[in-house]
Amino acid sequence: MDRTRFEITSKQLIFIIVGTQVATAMLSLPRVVAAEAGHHAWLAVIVGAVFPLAAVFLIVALLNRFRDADFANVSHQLFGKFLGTLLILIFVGYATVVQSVVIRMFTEITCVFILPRTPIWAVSLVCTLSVVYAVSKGAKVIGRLNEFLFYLLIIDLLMIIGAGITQGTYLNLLPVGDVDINGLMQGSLKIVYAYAGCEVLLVTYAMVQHRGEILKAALIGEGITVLIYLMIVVVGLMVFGHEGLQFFTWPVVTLLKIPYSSALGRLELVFLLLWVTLGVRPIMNLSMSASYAFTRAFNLDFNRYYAWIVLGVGAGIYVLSLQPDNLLQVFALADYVGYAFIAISLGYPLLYLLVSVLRRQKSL
Amino acid sequence: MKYRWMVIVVILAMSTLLCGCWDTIDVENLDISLIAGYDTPPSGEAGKVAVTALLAAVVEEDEKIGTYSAQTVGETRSRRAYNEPRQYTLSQLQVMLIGKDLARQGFRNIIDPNMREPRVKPSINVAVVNGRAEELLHFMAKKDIKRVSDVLISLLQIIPERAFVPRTSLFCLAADSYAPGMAVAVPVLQPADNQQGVELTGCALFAQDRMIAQLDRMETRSLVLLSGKKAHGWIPFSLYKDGQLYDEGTVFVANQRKVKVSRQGELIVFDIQVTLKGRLVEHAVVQHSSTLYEEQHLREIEEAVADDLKMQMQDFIEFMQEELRIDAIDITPYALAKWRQEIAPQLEQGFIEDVLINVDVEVILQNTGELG
Amino acid sequence: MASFLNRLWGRRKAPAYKLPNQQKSDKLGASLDSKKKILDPYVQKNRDIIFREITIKADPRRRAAVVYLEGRVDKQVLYEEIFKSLMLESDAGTLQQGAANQIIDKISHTCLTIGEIKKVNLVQDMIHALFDGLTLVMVDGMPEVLAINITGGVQRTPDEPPVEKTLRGSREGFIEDLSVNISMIRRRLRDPNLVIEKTIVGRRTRTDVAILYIEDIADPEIVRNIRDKINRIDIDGISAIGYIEQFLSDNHYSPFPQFKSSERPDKVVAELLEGRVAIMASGTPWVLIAPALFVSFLQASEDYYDRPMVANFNRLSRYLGYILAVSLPALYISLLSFQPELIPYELFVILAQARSQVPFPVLVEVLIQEIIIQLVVETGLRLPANIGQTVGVVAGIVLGQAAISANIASPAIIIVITITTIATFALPNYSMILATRLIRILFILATAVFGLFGFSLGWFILITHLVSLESVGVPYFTPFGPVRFGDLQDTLFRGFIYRLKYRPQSIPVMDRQRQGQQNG
Repeated sequence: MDRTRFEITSKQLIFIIVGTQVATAMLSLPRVVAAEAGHHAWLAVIVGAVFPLAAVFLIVALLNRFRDADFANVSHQLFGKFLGTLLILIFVGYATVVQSVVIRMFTEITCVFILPRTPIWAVSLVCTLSVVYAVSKGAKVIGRLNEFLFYLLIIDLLMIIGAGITQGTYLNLLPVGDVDINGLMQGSLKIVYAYAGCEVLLVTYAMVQHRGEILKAALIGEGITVLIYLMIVVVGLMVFGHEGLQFFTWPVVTLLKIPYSSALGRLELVFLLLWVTLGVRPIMNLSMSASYAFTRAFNLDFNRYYAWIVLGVGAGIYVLSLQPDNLLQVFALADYVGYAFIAISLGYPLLYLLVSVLRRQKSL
Repeated sequence: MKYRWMVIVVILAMSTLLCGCWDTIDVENLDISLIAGYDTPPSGEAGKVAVTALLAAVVEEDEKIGTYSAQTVGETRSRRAYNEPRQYTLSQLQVMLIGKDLARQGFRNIIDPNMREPRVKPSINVAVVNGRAEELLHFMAKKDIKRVSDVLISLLQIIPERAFVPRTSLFCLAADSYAPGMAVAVPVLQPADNQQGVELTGCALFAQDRMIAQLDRMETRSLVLLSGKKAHGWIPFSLYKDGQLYDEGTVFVANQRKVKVSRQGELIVFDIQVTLKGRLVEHAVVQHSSTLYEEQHLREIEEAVADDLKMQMQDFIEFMQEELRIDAIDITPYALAKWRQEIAPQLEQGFIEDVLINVDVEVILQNTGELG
Repeated sequence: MASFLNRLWGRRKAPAYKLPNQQKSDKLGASLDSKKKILDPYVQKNRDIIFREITIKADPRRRAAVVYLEGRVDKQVLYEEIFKSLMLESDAGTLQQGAANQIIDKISHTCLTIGEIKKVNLVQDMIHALFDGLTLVMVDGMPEVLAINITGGVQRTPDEPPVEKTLRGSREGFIEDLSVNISMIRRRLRDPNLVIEKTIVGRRTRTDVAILYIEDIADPEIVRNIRDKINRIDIDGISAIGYIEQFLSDNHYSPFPQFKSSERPDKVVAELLEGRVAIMASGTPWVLIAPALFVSFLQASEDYYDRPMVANFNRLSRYLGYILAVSLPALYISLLSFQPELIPYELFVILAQARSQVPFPVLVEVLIQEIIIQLVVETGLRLPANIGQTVGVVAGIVLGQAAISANIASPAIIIVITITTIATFALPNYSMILATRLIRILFILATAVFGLFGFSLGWFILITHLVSLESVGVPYFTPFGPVRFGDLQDTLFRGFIYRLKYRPQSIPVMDRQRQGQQNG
């Protein structure tokens, strides 16, 4: 098997983790969090980060126990051929559903702001095809791509900050003291959907060249994600206030439409122009993880089958993404994806850890 | 081999997609609406709203003004679709005019379709027409103004560069007027007295979704200075000494505001500090012959301007607290920032009338131009 | 079935290549006649082979012959140093001493005042030596033949490179002769560690190919990779170095050049110093440089000769030029047909007025102009310079102006296409220009369907493609993906020379240090 196509550096792991998390959810994030947590939404972002952090620690703790930390390999070792394969397939299925939700959200945003008359199937199709093309190139390319796109993300974020500073007021964030604990907790749960994505570490762990740096890289990645979300939520609150946020489906896009700008008529379109390339990152990363895990689960030859499996996963995503009838269903699905994320990213490592501890004791 | 098939699949998919250019509408097939005016329907016509659109001159020589009235804004768009040859687009909408009658009735039905439409940018300027928007546009077109759009767009766009009148975007109107206890000011236009063009007569205040008051130019100036909206403008002054007119002239200043909020027991006290910085434009020393560049004299002018403005502002605050009973000068957020949980529930019932608002005005004239 | 499929795809087994003479791997016979017999079929068919029997002055009884290709040898040297030396000046005393079977060595040691002489004793080698342009000296009774390199003949003198022009750099350009080209490099780079490996590619053309690298800088892995790939080439002939380029590249489906070619020795030296490998082939005045990075196609050697501030500005404008060249017509379509809200309204009204006269949709309008420009450029390239200019004027002024007055094109599209074409030719490398022209068309089609969205996705796919490319194992899109911040000062920007203390990280090298630390 051509392992070199699936090698990434620990630096690229940072960007893969950031890239899988920060995408479509970011545009509606301030509204979703502020609905529950009010003007303390930014605190909810920090509190909500507990889930992905715990997941990262658990995954690293689990995979550190194995010399060959390949996800498929570990599953087979712990659960035997049949059960292990079943668990991998559940993971692949989960990843496919998440991707289909993301791609649908992506398509909806595109259709609302850029292409109001283009049918959803067409937009979804070209997205899936571009993703399949990128994924078929292997993890190395995905890593580099994530790294490059991260810097585009920074440009986008600078635009948001610029609009926020000129249009917003810090008064909307005050006072800091009176925290509504209940709302904060609700908000933290709501934000979990936005943190979905760190479970790619389960699969990408084995691809990283220097294993010693994985934990550090993953934590830095999580840190960057939290910072970005924090910034977006703060800017959203500054411009709209927590009540004003509720009017807009994607407040982050709307806030770019507010400034008077004479040179470029529409800041939000420039933003979306860059964002289109950013929005496909989680689909790309998850699709790569799923295809890789699938190929390894059945021990197939990478050179012969990987591209076809990528195509198959792509077809699955595409068909699933066309299922919801409207945007509200997509948002509802996104909530379920958040819960599934908690189940997968915490449940898998816990289950695996438990079994591996039991097994090792038995064998000793 | 594998690669060859992949390429074929992609090419096939791409060529299928090429068959449908769903969103393509070339510019020459568009009716580009630059200004939209909203009125109540003229007497005798059914419906709730009349939409007047000023369309850019693309194929025709002149800009075109067309009015459709219907029950909703969306319905007027549909009527337009039946009657006009080209596709109506809002993507270049620059100015929104609201007729006074409609503004008094409530404008929720025109804000919603415009904020919802992604192609309308929320930063377009809004103005109220003292009269009917449709008539204002026709009046301007009749006055042989080649490009009505240019006049109106730049008039509203650069208001803050030259007058103490607020410039309000659709987003501000929508967001602030729905905030409880707050009012938002929108500039008011009308045909000029000399029948040559349009003029700004002040502003109108909107709370919730309707117009609640119309202010003249003086009141508008006080409002702008108090609310801290950035503006530049000329302010005349007259300086009296011993009851006699001693000097008069004009200053050109830019404004700035600082708000402090504190509490004396239950009473919330706002201290508003308005600072005006600028230069002396002209003055005429009537009964004085000594050197003009005395600092003392400049101080006296500054004080005269400040006193004058302070008096007007206090009048305006009184008017606001007692008659309007609503916050038009954007100070509630400062109180909210300190006591949000306590104040937020009572904003609906009335908050601004029970607070104390102190104003202090400082004028700083930085230079006196080329003459001393 | 399999054979049928193979025939369907056009695959046939290649018949083995044979020299016309059957005994190719045989040893040469001792007598002159046996050698003459081997060469006879060639001599009879080819009038440019001169088979000249001579008598050596020092040993008049022994028959000898000189065989050469007329036109491939330097006649001056041939007459002075071979014929004259052997026939008039050879000294009997030295030549007749010692054993008779060493006479061939004696001739080479004492008679021929020529540098490069080698002994050949196989039939195959002798024939190849003759056709490679060497001069053969054969003596009766000796199984060995002397092959003397006095190749010469008419060739171009080094000239100013016609494509890669420069203002402040050297005016010398490569020519078709390999040894002259190598000497240009040697003259500029006197490092004893500069290695020049030679090999021959092409069974029939037998083109000399040289691999140049600096032994203690270049990564041995890259050198080995290139050497292996060149040695593996099995083809009847190559007529230009472009053949080798295509054999070396990893990704054949890519429009992007994965090797840089240059016709300027100063550029090649600079690249060698950065740890790259140069590949030369006789017959082509271009040198291939590997590994090539995407950014290196946007750099001109002049960047390093000018002051950094100015050079930075030039370089950034070249990046802008690339972006414009790829995307301007696509942006025009997406703005006019999809997202008119991005255009300021005054401009929008003007554009709409201009468009209202044109009967075609925007896409067709753009494609017409794009195709016309493609044809104009193609025509201009092949035509002699003075006719080319006329065509340019006709196409540019007459066609543009006439198209506008005939309402076939709006003035805006003429401006857009003109800017695009100018931006395309602002790129310093012709292979990159070709790639850009192709990609531009793909972008136009993508935006025609999806507007700005298609535009973004187009860039996404383009970047994915660039990131996935590798040139001899080195990531093509560094330092942007994978990002190497250290290299940005000599790619995106052009840092101060005294600060570029290390060689670029993007290319693996053995010795990273470039300057002493006390510089600057």
